[in-house]
Amino acid sequence: MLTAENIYKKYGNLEVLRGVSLTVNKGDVVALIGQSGSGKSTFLRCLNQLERVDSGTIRMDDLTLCETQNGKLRYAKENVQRAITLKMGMVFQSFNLFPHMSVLQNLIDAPMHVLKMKKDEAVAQARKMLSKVGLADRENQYPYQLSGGQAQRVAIARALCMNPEILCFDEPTSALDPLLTKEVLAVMKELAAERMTMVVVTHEMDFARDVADRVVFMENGIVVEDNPPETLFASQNPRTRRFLGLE
Amino acid sequence: MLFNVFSDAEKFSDLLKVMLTGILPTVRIFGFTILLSIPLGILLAAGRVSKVKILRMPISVYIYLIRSTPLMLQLLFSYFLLSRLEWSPVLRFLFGDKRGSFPIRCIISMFSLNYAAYFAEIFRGGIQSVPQGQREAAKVLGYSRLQSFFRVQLPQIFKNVMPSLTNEFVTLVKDTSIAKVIAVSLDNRTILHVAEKQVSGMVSLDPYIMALVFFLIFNGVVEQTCKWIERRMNYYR
Repeated sequence: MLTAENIYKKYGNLEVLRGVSLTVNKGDVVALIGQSGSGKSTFLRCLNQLERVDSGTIRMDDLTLCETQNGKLRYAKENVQRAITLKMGMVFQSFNLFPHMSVLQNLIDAPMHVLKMKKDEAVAQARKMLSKVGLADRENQYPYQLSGGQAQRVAIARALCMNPEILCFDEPTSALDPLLTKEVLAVMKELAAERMTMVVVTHEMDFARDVADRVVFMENGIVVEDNPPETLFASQNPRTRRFLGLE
Repeated sequence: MLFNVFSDAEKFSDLLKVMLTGILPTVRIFGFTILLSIPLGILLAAGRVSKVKILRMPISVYIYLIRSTPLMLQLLFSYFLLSRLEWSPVLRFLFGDKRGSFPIRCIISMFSLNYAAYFAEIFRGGIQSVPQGQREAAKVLGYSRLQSFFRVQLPQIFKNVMPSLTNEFVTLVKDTSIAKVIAVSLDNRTILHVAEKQVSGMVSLDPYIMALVFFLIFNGVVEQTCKWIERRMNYYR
């Protein structure tokens, strides 16, 4: 469904990604783990077009976002980029809800103005998503009135309202205390149970172990290991073991 | 006697009538300048923070020129420059008749160009005050750049810059007095212009007092309106 091959990305002299490849199949939950600075967030941002790659190939279904042939990088035309954007949802560490819109407005604005959905349809869908994340009674509140955990659940609902094929999470619980983390993870587990395709950058090892189908361990801009959790968490690779604190 | 008409009801109402003719031109310059300079200021600000370098440079130069020189000088300069030019159809379309609407339109244009530069700087600050995450969220949700700007950023920008805008509005009300350096027809004189003519005619300070009161009232209304708008935008943090 989503493939990335040999992604390179530099910031000035700093090589953040040095040939990262990843395949995500439909229904997969892929957890990206690794130390801060290992490149996992940057990689996710490249998939979401928030950053441009320096070289490599990214394909989503039958669409090609970027391609490198004979050392030359080519990005797709604007309309293809947008089509790919619409297939992917993103949940940020800092929620990034729109502060000037109520919870409900946050959920219907993009469906109405990007997907041209009718208002009552968008509202009905928004309410469905809100009750899914357990916040049906909050639709008229504003983001500043929500706790971090509630804000993040709204952000997940907002992403779901665009009906993405893949939902990406960039450290969704890193700004939350353990209790709030739990409520967000519960929602994510539920999505996983519904076979939502997800790519999750996370420091939550328990989540990676219990929920992910595959865990990808990154270090210094390369993928060290890409395995099912039961294999990865019993890894023989010394670098993986060091990161997991197994030795 | 420096203040005499206040003791004579008839003289007072005569003077008041004359002074009132200055209200409409003052309000007109104020209103049109705001209407024209704010959109222009937003455009300039957007250009100034854009990635396109050939946009940024000329805008910076423009803002520098406008902000570094007196509005009065800009007014005089543009007025005499334009009045000495051979008028093309474009100029005729913009300013109308050289003897009729030209002076007042010239004033409003120069005021708008001038204030747009200040607004541009204010809006630039406003644009930069919106967290990067807001733009990113809009992008991943599929908003176009224009949608992202108008639906996500601009409402937040306005909230952020409203106090600075209020400042500029109040200054603009007072700056309308500068318009008097351009000779305009009788019915286009601003309050201060009228007051000055009256003072020199009657050797009394009454017209100035009326002008003072007028500015106090005008700016009182402007400030209260801005406060009301700020309160309206305070529904979120």
